[in-house]
Amino acid sequence: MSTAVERDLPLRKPRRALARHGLLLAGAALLVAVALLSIFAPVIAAHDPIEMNPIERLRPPSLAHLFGTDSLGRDVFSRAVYGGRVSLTVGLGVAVLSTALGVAIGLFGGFYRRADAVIMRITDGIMAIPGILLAIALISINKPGPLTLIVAISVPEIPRVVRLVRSVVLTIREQVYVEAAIAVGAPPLRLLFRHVLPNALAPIIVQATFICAVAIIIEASLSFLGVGSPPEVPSWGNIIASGRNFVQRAPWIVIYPGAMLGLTVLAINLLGDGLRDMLDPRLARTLR
Amino acid sequence: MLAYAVRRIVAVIPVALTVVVFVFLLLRVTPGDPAAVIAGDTANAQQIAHVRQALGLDRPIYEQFVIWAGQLARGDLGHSVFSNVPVTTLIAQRIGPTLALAVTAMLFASALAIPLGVLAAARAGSLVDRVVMLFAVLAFSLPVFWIGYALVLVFAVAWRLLPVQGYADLSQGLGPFLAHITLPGVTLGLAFMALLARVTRSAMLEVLGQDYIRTARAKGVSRAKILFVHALKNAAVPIVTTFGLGFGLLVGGAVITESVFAIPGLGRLTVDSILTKDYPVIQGLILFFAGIYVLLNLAIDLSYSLLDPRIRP
Repeated sequence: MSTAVERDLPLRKPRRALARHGLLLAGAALLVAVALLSIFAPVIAAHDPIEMNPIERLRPPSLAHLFGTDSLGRDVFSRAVYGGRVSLTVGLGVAVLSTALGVAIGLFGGFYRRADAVIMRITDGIMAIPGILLAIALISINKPGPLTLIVAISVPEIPRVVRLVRSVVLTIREQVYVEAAIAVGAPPLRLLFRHVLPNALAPIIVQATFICAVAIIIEASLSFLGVGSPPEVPSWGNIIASGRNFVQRAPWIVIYPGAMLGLTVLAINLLGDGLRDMLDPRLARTLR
Repeated sequence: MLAYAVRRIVAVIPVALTVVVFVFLLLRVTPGDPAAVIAGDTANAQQIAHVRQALGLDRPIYEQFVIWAGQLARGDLGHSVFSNVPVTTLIAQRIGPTLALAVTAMLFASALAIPLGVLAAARAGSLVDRVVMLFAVLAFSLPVFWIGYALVLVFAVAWRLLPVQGYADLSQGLGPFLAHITLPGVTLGLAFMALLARVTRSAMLEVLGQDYIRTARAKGVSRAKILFVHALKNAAVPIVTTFGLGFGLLVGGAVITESVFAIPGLGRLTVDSILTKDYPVIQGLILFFAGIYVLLNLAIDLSYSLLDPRIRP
């Protein structure tokens, strides 16, 4: 894969190639920073994220409280740092779960044409339902918890992966070298691991990063609506929800955690865009 | 043309059936007792039994499906567990504000995204292109509720140009209607605008590389005419498709936007029914939105043959 990229590079203006990789690197750096912030939350957060302090209610940002305090006197910065743990866990969990299931189902459909028709009808059906509503419905009938949240956000994303994988499989099946491999009697599993998966890997990775970004936004939206993370677990969505009634008096409760969320999603999107341009020579050519 | 239309319409039936069966199974094949979950943690055995009976969960599953599908076929989406009002009535009462919001968002998004996408493609790689694309990624990365509150803080709180929240029906006059719908419309439209700008740009890039564009340029057609007449017309199919794909995005966004701006629409109804665990209403809303999605995409499919004669089989 890297050789293909290197071969393409001299065809493009070097300056622009650098700019594009610059965005990729910026995204990766930003993401690493947020991840470190979340992992070392107990060290970085100056206050207990759930400790209430009635005297310090709705204080504007200061050195003691970088993002100010909320209506219960809790330190918004500490809560936002801990909130990153929920968002990143859910984002990663959804990306892994939906990609794994989507790849398995997509490969199965791509190889066994009889199953394909059924799988396509089901994915059509699921894709007709707005993702966030489907997630809400799944949450409302299951026991609340992080696992329910991850599964509920994954279900609407799976069909997208299935379709992507299937389309790659169908394209590759038509290639002469695959026909040749079939002709010499290569077993299906060998076809799968030697020819199909290596070709499908790049678009799958790119898709997984975008799913991760969408999942973080949906988790925050669900928490904002009151059906995501429970109030005692700080997440970017429910921190913002807790500041809803004080937007005019204490905008910092909404603005700073939201900006952190936006930056994180932006970082993942930049990473995904960069990876796509780097890994997909076909697209890179049209952009030349 | 007619044969094509009939074939597209027939192709919708299996999708619609899948949605119906899927939504039916959603409640029935969930691990654990859905009646207990819906009734809530504090419910006693009697309340759980009441919920089970109200949702018909005490009958055999095939019987449940026959009853449920029969009601659905007659346009009956069931009754709210709490108010006992038919779900169809609830939807009819709340659809106006949501429709106004969605149309405003779509108009705002198209009015900006299509020219910006064309411009970005025409000057691919330039500073303009990069600024437009960075803006698109940014708009796509910010959660709807954050955009909403940021706009409120600037335009309603700091500059006092527009109301903070609320909704005014068109019957209350055009002025109040526009004043109330502008911020929510922009809030909801931004993410869709980002998507549309990206699609427009890449579709235009594809078309601008074609031979007939070079021919048009060679015979001296003006640059603006090439971009907005020759090229945009041929890039129409992916752009129109985005309106169908973006519908889910718009519905999800509407749920949150209506919550931020206190608009009494379908999104607000969704949130209220989640918080009260009014499952028949949630289910009815899912079926309603899925139905619109299917019909919208059918209309878009049919429009392809008008937009691009090559698609007409």
